[in-house]
Amino acid sequence: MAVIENIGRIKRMTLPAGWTPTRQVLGQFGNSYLYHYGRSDTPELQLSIFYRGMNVSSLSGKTFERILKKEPHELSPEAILSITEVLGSCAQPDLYDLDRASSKSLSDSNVIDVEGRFPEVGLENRTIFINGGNDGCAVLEIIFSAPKKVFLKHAPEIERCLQSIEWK
Amino acid sequence: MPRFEKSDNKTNDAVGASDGSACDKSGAGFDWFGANFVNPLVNTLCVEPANAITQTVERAARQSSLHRIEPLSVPDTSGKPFSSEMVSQSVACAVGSVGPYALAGMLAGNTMRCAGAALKTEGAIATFAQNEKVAQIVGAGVYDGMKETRQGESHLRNGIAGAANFAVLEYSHVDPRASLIGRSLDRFTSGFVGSLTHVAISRPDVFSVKSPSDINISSSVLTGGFINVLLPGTQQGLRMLQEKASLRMGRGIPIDRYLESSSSYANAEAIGAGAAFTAATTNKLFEQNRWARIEPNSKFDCYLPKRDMVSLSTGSSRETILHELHHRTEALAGIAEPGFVQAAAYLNKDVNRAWQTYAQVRRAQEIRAEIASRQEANSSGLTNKAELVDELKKTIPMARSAGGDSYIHLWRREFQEFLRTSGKFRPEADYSQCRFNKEIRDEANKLYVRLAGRQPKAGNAIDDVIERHSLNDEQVLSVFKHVNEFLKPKYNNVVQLPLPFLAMQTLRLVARPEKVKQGFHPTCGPAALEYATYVKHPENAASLISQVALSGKYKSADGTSIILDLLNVIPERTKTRSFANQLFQTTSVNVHWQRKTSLEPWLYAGDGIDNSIMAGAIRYERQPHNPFIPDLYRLMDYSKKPVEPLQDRLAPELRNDLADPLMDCDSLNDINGQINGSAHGDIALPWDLNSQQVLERTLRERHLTDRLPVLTVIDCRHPLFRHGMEEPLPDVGWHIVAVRGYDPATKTASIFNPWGHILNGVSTRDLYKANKEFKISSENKSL
Repeated sequence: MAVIENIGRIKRMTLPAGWTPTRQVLGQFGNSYLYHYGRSDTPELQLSIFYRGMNVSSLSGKTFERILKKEPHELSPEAILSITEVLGSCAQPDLYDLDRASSKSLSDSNVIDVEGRFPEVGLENRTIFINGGNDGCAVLEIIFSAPKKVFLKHAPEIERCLQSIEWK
Repeated sequence: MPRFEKSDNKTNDAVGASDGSACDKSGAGFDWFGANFVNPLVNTLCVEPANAITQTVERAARQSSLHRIEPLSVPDTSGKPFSSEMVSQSVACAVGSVGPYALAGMLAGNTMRCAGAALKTEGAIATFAQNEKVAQIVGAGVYDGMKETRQGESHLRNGIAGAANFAVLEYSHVDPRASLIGRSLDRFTSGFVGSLTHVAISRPDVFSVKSPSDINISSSVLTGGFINVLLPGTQQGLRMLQEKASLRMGRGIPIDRYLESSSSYANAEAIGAGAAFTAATTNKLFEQNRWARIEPNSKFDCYLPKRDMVSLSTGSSRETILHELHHRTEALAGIAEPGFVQAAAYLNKDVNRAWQTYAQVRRAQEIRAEIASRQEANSSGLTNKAELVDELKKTIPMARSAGGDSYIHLWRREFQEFLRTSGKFRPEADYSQCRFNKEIRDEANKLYVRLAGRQPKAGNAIDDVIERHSLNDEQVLSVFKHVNEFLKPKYNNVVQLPLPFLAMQTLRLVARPEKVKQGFHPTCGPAALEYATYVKHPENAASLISQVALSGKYKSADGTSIILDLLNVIPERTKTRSFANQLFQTTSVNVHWQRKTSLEPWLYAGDGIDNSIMAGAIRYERQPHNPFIPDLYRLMDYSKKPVEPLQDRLAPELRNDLADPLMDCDSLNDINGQINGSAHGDIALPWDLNSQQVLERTLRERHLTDRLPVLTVIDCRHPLFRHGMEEPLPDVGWHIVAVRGYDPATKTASIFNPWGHILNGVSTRDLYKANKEFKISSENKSL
């Protein structure tokens, strides 16, 4: 099984069997990077690690940090609104149908887990938002997206993959 | 005084109407009331003043009475002393006359005050000029002197008679402890005496038993009595109206009236007087500042020398008023002037020393004012003045002034102006720099009316712009005008845009330029330029937004019309930057590319002849809907059929390194020249800085000549810009930021990053290092 190492705060993450790196784009905006992983037999399936390259504002960063410091909980609409900048497209109602947003513990570190879909392109989506820096302003994202049927089929192995994360 | 002559041929009809036969006719009740109340009221309230004014003007122009208005007919009551007709006419005349007389007194008072203030009179003359009783006497005398004369009268005698009459009214004793009825009777009696005085001077012949009198004395004295009863209330009402109008126009009220109202509390609430004074303090304050004007309920406490006005916020303390008045005393005496001259003398030799001198002068002014206010406030005096001075020396520079900035910050800004004007600048106000420009207020009000219904925080946004002290009045006015322009309902915009939102975003960016963002768009350079524009020339940014919102076009300084694609002026879906940011940034990129007539060598088409291109052929356009990258912009080459991305002209080996909108420092300087003019030189430093020393020298020079912000290139992979984010890092990290402030003493800069951050205390060493390519160690490139 392929292992991802040293990407931002991620020290190690084990990919599900059959998954391989497919593409990478660095420096599109600022220090951005985008690593894609997938399966050759299911091209519409995609796991990505994305850093947008530029930091969110201090206010959004502080709010993000504050939410992560609390015990894992479901995010209220007000809380989602307060971190719109952090959630990016996932917080844009005309782009994304958001089903659920919650903070949860992943390998002893709190992250925000968002589930929903991009209706225009018919992709189910789950995005994990990670505090990638020291002040909440650098947001690292792990994005899993696929058409609904494929998404549901591979969701359990993605969950195991996420549980395998080791942080720096 | 209103006149009551015995009947003449003019009043015969009216007399006829009042006899018994006329009373039998329907409507006789009204005829009686009209003739005995309405007509004399109209005559004294309107006809007499109008005739007095027109005939005075005509006399001055040596013309005969061309515009005389015939008075309405009034029944004769000379044979019926104290009849109902006479009483009614007297009351009507009193009601009608008291207004013009009080108005005449007010105008005379204003004239005397203006003359006294202009001549800077002191002592007895000043007291005379400010005396409202004297003003009323003079006003009444002038008014009576202007009125038409009858047989046996002269203008001069009438004037003296009017003045004498009102002297009796103003100076007669009225017991203030008496009841309302008692005081009214006192006033009625003195009015009675005043009227007799008037008749005695203007027509002494009526008292002669030999000559038949044509004056109805009983009616005159009755009217005089009624006038004096009504006079104080009318005077007070007119004064309140004048003060309200004066405050509305931003002219303030005279200090004596302010002090009077603040001690009597009679109309304290109405004019916002918030401080109470002891009699001794009041007298002293008045003596020292008798021509100052006060504007209560202002936003700030400050003294405005140009208007000789002290502006006071609601609930200002006694110490604050004393403090600001001390500034006034100093300003008039020119106490600080030698210090400013000394600072100006140092400018050519040693700027640092000039700044130190300037700051010392300003600090000393504040210390003196503070000590004076505390001394006045504590009648027992200050126990340890030396200790207080030491404490104030330390605390005042860092204390917050009315506008919210520290005093040292404000002095620094003043010093920049002092430097720019070679030492001629003098601080205008202490230090709110409140905006009293009437045009600004009018435009702000218009803007508020247009926005308030849909944008509940419009008032705050407008106030924030007004309170940005680094902008001058012209800039604020221009910003408001441009925003008002695109909010005008008569315009049909290119598309239905969310204009109130755009207006709010523009105002917020003007108030806080650090809110500029590039979002997820590769427009760091245009965004940094946008920030610099909002800092130095927000009126130009507002003009750009206004033009684009109205027509989808922007006219650059060289007259080129920059046309924006329709999609460019529709709000983005991802909302990672505001609509105002989107319009400015995409327009500015187009300002550069649409004016190009030749392409750089690295964009050489390789398709034939040369690299020239038609102006307008390259456009920075938002691409039609792409669900994966919703708001993608590309440079499109319209010289090709079909239209192609400009990137296709790049050599394949360059395509990974260069991305749209292909901006460099020269492009930004070009855009800045087209939007802000090139009077202040380049906005961007060279891509590759020569040395740290050159950087320091450049920043210092720009700081002292008020030419910051300046744009500079950095490699964003430098830890300074990573916020703790660890590797991996991209192979290329060029980014543009704005240096917004520089401290030559510590050699540190404050940096605006268009990602939405301010970095303070960045050393020139770090900044210089960040300007150089960041070397990535091989272990960072793992996958």
